Amino acid sequence: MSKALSSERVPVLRAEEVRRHYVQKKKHVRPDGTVARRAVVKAVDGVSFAIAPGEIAGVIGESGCGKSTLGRLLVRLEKCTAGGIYLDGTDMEALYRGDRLAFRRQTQMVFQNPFDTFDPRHSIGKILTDTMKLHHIGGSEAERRELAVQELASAGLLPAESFLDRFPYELSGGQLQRISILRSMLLGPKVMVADEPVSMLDVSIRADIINLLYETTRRENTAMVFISHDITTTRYISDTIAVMYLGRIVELGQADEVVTNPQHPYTQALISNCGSIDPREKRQAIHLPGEPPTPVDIPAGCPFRPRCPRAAAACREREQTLRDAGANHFVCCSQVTGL
Amino acid sequence: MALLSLRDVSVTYHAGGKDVHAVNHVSLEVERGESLGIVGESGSGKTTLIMAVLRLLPPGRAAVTGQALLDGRDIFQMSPQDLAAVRWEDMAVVFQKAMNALSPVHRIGRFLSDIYLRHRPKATRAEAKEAVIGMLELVNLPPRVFQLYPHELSGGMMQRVSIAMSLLFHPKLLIMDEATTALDVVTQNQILEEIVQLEEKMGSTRIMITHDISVVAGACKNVAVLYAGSLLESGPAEEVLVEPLHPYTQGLVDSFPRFDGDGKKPLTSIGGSLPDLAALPAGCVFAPRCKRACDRCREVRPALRPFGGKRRAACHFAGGEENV
Repeated sequence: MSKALSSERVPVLRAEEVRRHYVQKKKHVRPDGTVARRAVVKAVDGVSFAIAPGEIAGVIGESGCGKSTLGRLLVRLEKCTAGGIYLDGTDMEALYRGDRLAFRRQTQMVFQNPFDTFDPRHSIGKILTDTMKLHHIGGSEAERRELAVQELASAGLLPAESFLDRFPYELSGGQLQRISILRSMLLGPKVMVADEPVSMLDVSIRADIINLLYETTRRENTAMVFISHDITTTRYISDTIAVMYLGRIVELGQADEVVTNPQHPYTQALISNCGSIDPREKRQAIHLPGEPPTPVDIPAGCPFRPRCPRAAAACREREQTLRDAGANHFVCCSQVTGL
Repeated sequence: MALLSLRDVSVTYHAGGKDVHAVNHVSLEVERGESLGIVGESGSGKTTLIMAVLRLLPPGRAAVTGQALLDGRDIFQMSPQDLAAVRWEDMAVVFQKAMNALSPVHRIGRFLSDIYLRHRPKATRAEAKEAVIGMLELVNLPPRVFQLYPHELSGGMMQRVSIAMSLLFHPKLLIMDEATTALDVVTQNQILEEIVQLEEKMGSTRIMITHDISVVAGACKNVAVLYAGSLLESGPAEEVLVEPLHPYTQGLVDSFPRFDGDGKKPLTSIGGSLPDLAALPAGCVFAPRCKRACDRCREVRPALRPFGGKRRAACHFAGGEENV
């Protein structure tokens, strides 16, 4: 997801200054005590990046940072307020307004909650064959069922035939999430967005889902945006990582580089607070004063300034932008990159 | 004498004409000043176990057997009056959803003062206010929170309020059921650190229910691993999580991605899924998913055996092959 990658390889997906603002029409008190009748929630506020075919880009951040909204924008489940998203160089809005089905074949999403993903009254067989039928895959119902069996087996759901006539409530979360992934991958999408795909699942089965996502997207050369609050899992699967804070990317780079050599003060704090399962390993956690912010009334200048241990007077005035800190590592902090 | 001693506790739910064995013969001691993390996945019975200890299970729907001795008194046999006196004073609980633990129509101060006055009927409103504000300060909340409603607080602040509420009477035993799970990592870590510090100051004892091993590794001295209602392993966290004796614990540890090294150590899952709690296997409850399982494992349920120090494990293979 690095900026530099776009010059080396042709990106399949490119976001330019993407914004998504929501208007809340309710009385609301500003930090300075004045009262406003409406508030603008800047969920995503100027995000730019590119992703190459087959690349896995992790997006991490705390709740309210806009990572899920960004994911929904990238598959056009929501419309950008400003900025543009380009799929193979073509404006996504135009593709979406054109052939909706063709567009959906190119962009797919896997959601957090596999129990809410499917129609509870459809059997697994119907869920898969209906998707194929809608997208003209397979010549006959028998052929589609045969294909569904193959897909189920390839995702480790065995014996595959037995799943066709079962209903979502009869399956576990892990099994449903696998079906959600293979249904998306059936269409051979160019871009897949996985929004917290394992956070609802038990720890002991998460690895299977992560590995399935990794293998299928690599095999099909599908670019994947992997959205998560879990830094270790994101590092495990991703090529690059973007760290979001209040609707913006504050740090971007190779996954290992961002995790082992974080530059932005927020990333450093986030990673220092990430728990280890080894009780002997005690890291010094960086404390952040104040409460996690909401994307209403984002302060001018650097949005992280009120909690930042390195904040200087200049951070209040200056709009921060992502700058190269070397080695394809981009940081949105003038304290780090200089001017 | 241990502060809390669970002896052969079992909980069976009657649902859909079947007996669902949610907790099976769990025996556990919690010493004074100890911090115990009970780890388990969904369906492991971890919440059922502590809801039984708190006597919060729906009467008539769940059959509880065994003993839960708090300071030598069996909680399961207490009269409603005794129970009311023990709750908050001797043991208190913090739940996952702080929002649901507070009243949406009462200010924080009013709600906490009412609890205080219920247990200290002779105290005045002013005394209650003083006690509540003192407790809010203890969990690093400003006194103005007293005047606020729950919806005016962030998730982290609300969870701090429920922790302050649970500590009002300096309970001997604090039980936290996934109390920090819903919080962001930075807030979670901060609150965990504060709790550990408070404990050292107040000398209290804590049981923490969680599915997240890293929370136990960071904030608990001891750990107990539950699976399908059975206690499979327990002991000091530094030993159990580093060199597990039970294959299930090992499997859990292997499913967590690590920070150390290059972070690319292949992740492995535990294949299969939880057994049907209404029809548990005759032998080891983990045998259907265990790579090492042999005929004996499928026929004889392994007992929890001691392994030096405070370690215990329920596996025929633990401590060498000779036991198989």
